[in-house]
Amino acid sequence: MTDSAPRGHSPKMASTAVPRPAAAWTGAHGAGEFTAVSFDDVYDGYFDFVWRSLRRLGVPFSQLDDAAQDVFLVVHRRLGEFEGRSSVKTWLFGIVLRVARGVRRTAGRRPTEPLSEHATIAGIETPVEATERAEAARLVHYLLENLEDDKRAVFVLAELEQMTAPEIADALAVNLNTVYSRLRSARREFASALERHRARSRK
Amino acid sequence: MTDLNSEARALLDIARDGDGATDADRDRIRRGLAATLGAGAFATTSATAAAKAGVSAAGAVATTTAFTGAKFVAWVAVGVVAGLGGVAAISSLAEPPPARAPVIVPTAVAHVPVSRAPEQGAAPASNVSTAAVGNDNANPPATSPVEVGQPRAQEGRTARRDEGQDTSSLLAETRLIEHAQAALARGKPADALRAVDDHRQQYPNGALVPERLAVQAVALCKLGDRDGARRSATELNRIAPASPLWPRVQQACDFDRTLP
Repeated sequence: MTDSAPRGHSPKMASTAVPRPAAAWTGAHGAGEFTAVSFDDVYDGYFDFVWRSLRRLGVPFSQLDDAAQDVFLVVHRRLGEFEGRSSVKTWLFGIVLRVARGVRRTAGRRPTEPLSEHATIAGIETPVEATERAEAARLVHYLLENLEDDKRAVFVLAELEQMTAPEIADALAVNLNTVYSRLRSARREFASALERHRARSRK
Repeated sequence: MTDLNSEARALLDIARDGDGATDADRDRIRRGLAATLGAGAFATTSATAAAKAGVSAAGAVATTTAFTGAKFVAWVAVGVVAGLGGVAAISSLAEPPPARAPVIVPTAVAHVPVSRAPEQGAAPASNVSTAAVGNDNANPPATSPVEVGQPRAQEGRTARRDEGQDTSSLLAETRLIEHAQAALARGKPADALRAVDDHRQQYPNGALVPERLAVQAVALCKLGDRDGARRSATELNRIAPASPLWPRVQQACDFDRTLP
């Protein structure tokens, strides 16, 4: 496994021995409001975020378990180095992003699960809001494949995680203008991909 | 800034909550991490994991379950059939099965690294036993609400359920079965059996029991446990004799058509 710690988070606190990772500290520096964050806290509080982010960044379903485990192995190893200068979520996304890229490099650019595998779900009449959400999520994953990785990450954080531009800039270690630029482009390309998909579906 | 059109926006609004993890996902990865990092990696044990251990200790029960969302089940069944079809295609019927070996994963111990646990042959004996997977075929405890061997009249008892509950649990069930299928497709039957085990623990009377039994039978065949596979296939045939999964299991395992 490669070292997938995100940029912009230099080591500060000494990590403790495995298997128990160090607790990291998060909170407002300078205000004396620090809160210890344990590995359990990160796992329990952010597992869902990690899981869906991996999926949205193009990790095939069949490799999702391994990728999620890789993310938390990195968290376990690096949590003691987390300075709390950013939120746990943005720190974590940096790890997720690198793990996802690694998986995709190995698996190839295209998803291993074409949309058609799941398309029949559209014909289901029963129960349903959850099914609709799952179907919509699969379509979104499929459309996200049209975006370059950098734009995709910005788009996922902005449109699906609904993070602010400064948060995204922090998570991706890029400047604000880059975030805006990538988001504009990603939105345009996502909308175009959706139009093409709809056009094909109508034929 | 360029904004999305209303259709794209609507799609994203719906999709936003559509790909979260389930408790099963969370617990499966937790077990894998604990196995990799050591038990001390987690300070606490999740309630769901503890509950599962209880279920495991009591012994899981397989039963048949009808389900109100027949189309959904049909979709899953199609998916499973497709998956098994792929497995059947890659599984050479002429290929002699490996030497008999214990196959399955003990419930509480063997959920080792998620999909990194060594397959049969490389796996230490302690990682495999006939205890867990055999649960679908084993005699349930006397206190079990539904006995495996009970007649199919039990089906009607579970036919009507709350739809909202069905929706979420079915999606979670589907996830587990998909995991099992994916593992089979990757040529990792032991991993498939772990997902099967997860499903059995969480949904002993779930809507996808036939799918679970089918995946289990094929996985056991691939691991060389033909007796275990036969038990699973027999149970599948008992609870769902008309299942489209059945021919696939027969083909994958090269079972006689008269089986069971």
